Amino acid sequence: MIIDQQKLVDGCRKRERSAQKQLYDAFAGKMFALCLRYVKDRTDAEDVLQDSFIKIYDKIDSFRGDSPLQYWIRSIVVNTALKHIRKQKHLLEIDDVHTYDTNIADSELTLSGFQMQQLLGFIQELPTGCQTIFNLYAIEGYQHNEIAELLSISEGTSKSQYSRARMLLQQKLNKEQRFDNESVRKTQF
Amino acid sequence: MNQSEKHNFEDEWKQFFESASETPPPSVWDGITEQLDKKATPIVPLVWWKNPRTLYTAAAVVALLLLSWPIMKLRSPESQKDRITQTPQSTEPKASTDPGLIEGNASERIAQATSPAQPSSTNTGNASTTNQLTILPGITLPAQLISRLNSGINPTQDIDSHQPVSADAPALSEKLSGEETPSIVTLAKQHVTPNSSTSGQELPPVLAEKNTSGLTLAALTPLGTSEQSVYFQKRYVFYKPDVTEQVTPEPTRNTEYWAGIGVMPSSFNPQINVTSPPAAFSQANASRQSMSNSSKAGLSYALQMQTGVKVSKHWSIETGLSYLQGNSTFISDGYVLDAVTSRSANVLENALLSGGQQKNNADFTASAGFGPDPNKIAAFYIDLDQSTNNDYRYLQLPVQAGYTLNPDGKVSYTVLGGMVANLFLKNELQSASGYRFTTTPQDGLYRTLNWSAATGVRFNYHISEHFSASLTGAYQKALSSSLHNNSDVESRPQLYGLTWGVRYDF
Repeated sequence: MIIDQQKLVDGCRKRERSAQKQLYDAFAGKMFALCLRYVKDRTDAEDVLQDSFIKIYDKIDSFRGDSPLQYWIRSIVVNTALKHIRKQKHLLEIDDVHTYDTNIADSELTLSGFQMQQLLGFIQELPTGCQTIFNLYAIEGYQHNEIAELLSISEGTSKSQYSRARMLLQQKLNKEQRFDNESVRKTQF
Repeated sequence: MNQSEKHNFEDEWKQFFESASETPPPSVWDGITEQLDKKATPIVPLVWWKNPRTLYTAAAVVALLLLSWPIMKLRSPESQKDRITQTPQSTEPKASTDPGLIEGNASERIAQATSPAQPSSTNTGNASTTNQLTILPGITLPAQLISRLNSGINPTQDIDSHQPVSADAPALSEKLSGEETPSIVTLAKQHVTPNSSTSGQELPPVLAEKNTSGLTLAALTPLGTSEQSVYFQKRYVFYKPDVTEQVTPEPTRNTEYWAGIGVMPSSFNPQINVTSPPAAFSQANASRQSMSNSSKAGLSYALQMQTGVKVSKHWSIETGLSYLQGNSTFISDGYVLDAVTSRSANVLENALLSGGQQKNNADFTASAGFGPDPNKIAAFYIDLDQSTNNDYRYLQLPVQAGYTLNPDGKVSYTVLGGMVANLFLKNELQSASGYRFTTTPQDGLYRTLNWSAATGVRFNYHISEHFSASLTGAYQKALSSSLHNNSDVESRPQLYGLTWGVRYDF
């Protein structure tokens, strides 16, 4: 479906409900997936999504159109999710550890055989600090210094948390893959 | 792990979740629309405030309240004394047109007055002793009226003399005294018979008879002030009185003119210098290039009279008269001895005499005991250090401008600058005890008038409105030589002084 972005924005600026609904339908799916990556359960993700779209509709006038609408919406959702996490005080759990292991074992694992729900589950099972920093660094593309500023932590902490997240995810992926291989073998026998 | 592999890991996750989508439940949109609807219709606690008509009404009410404020103020407890006359007057027009209405009001008041819940002094029968009769709570009748009531004198006599009586007053009196107003009669009875029952119950009809007593009618008449047909209206005129703001004049010390006296201990140095050595010195000391001589300042003093005028808040011009006794010492390394007369003279004296000769002042040189030309006579130069007292007397006329800081303060500071006219009076050289060489203006050696530049700083302490004490540091320096064109001697006096003075401000 081709969306006339400008028309959509104009409609939202005029507070037209139909335009708002159209915008929601266009981006809610991806943004909900994003929310699910940042929080621990579905209910929280729904809350974050709802708050995010309220903000989007409120601040639509500040959208200048110099970047794709999706990125603008995405930034609002990410910020709302971070705010939600701060409210939950989960970020306090981030250990201010400056030592981090960059020598993560090589892995030939790929995500091709995994379902989205599986990977989402892996991310949600991470400690909150690791989960947040993994999302920001690996998926959103923030640099560690930016994450440090965003979360008011040190850059070293961001790096160590990311290393930890990556190690935990690899362990989960390895474990899952072994299990799958064994299942395949058993099936073959 | 190499960097590319690391990026592969992140890219893989990124690519995977870039396209990830999860359909949110419909309740999310419902919640969004609910919140949007709430925002669209903001809850205003006072919705009516949005209505312009209500706003105008509220504004009108406020204006009305503001306008009626004086009236409300009038009805405050402070004005209760006035109400005793104002209340019947205000009801009087109604009574004159509708007597029944006044009866009704009266009945209500009576009911209040005789109510057991609000016992008054009237009910206790103490009216004659307290000299006041309470009709309504908070309202009292004057003692004069009560005494009239008690004595049976018709109080309206006095009232009639001041206020016109309504034409329908007799009718009203009849009504009041009739059976139609038993309650009023009851009140009257209660008032005039202090020992009567105070239960507030209506008395038997016997009291309502016309011929109960003249006292009853007399009591009723003043109570029924509705007889007055004059409409009173109190006017409250609000105005701002033209209060002329009294401009308090600045506390000016009467310093337009002042006069003062002072004494100035000073250090006076004539800085006199003999530039041309005497001929005897040249003859005796051909090998020496110059002669050594100098002046040393001595303790001097000046008596001063000052007067000044203030030209602005800070600026002033002052002048005065000062008598200066300038003492100094002239030091030379020898003196001149006249070979003919054995008259000795120090270098300065010799130079002055030579100057006198140049001025063809033979008398002057002769009086000094020298020949016609001291430099040409046979003389010897005695190479011996000699100190000579060199005293001057000047009459000074300073003209100075002053700038005063903090002129209205207790302590003020004035910076002075100007010129001083030095009128030469006398110079005395005392080279030896008992011998004085005196020079006066007539001798033509010293200039009669010599100008000096003067500057100084003065501290003024205002003792009282008129008197102030001052301490002035002064410096004077002659602008030119104090002697007439004399190639042998040069003098440019300077003075440092500290003046203690008292000033009177007119």
